[in-house]
Amino acid sequence: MTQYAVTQIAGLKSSANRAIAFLTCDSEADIDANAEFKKLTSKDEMTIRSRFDHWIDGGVYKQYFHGWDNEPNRSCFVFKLKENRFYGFLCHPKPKENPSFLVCVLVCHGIKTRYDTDPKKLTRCNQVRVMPAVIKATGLTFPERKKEGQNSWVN
Amino acid sequence: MGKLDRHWTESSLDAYLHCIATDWVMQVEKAMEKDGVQRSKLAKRLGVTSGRVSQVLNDPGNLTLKKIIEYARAIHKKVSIVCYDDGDPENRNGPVNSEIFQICWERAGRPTDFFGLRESQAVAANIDFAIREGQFYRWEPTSGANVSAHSHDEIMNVLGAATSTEKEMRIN
Repeated sequence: MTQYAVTQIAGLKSSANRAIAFLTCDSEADIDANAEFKKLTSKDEMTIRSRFDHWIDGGVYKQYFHGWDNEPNRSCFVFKLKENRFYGFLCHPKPKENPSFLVCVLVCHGIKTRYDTDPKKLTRCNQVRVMPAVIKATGLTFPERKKEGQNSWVN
Repeated sequence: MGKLDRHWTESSLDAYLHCIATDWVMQVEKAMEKDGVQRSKLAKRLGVTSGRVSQVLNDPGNLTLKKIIEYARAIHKKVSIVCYDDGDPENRNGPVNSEIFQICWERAGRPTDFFGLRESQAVAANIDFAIREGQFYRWEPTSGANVSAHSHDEIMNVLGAATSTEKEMRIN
């Protein structure tokens, strides 16, 4: 059975509003956002970390990151750095505790070679977004907790 | 960058520098986009090539204060350096984005001296008092409080005098 994991990116801003994570899967080579992120030069990694933080802060700048207004890509999202594109999907993993809490789960990487977005990347993000195993993995990384901090809600 | 249990800018001085330099580049790029200034136009103003401008904006880690001021002035902006305490002495959450400071300053009426700041604080206190009292008045900074009551929508318009950035954020 294919194993998926969702790992929050360490060292970014901590926020009750937003977070960013990587989806990883050893058996699916095209889920490569995390692997490609690790290949970035130190300077490029710092630059994209700044852009991640800006999104977590609630900032807006389409040159650095954006989603799509149209279906079926309304839940897709991309972070940009030079020719690099990190594609993912948006979700609300805490509907009970914090319904507005928004997570961007980065799925795959692409190199921008033309003006419009490669639709295969968005299709892939949409495919994994609704997989029960991915939803479960996201819930494990971003669990719902009751305010007392004692018992976890069942995701 | 290794395993991080604090904000990534705490890993080294260079990382912190890169973060605030990237933040500055974003301010410049946003301002250029807003004012319709192309990189070639900026290069002309600076007396350098477009390639040099791209090099500086794409590799902000090497920025100097002199370069920051030079570029800001070329797009007819100014630069201030702010040292602040956000209650995070161990830097677990990274620096506050400069746009936050800019929006707060714009919402305060863009005071350029301490007199202007005091006036904006008085306006804010007056509005706050009026809201707490359940009465909404429009404050006129130059002529004192206007005694005629205004609608909730009107006062919210005064309070929410949104900057262009905020409007953009709402749209998105």
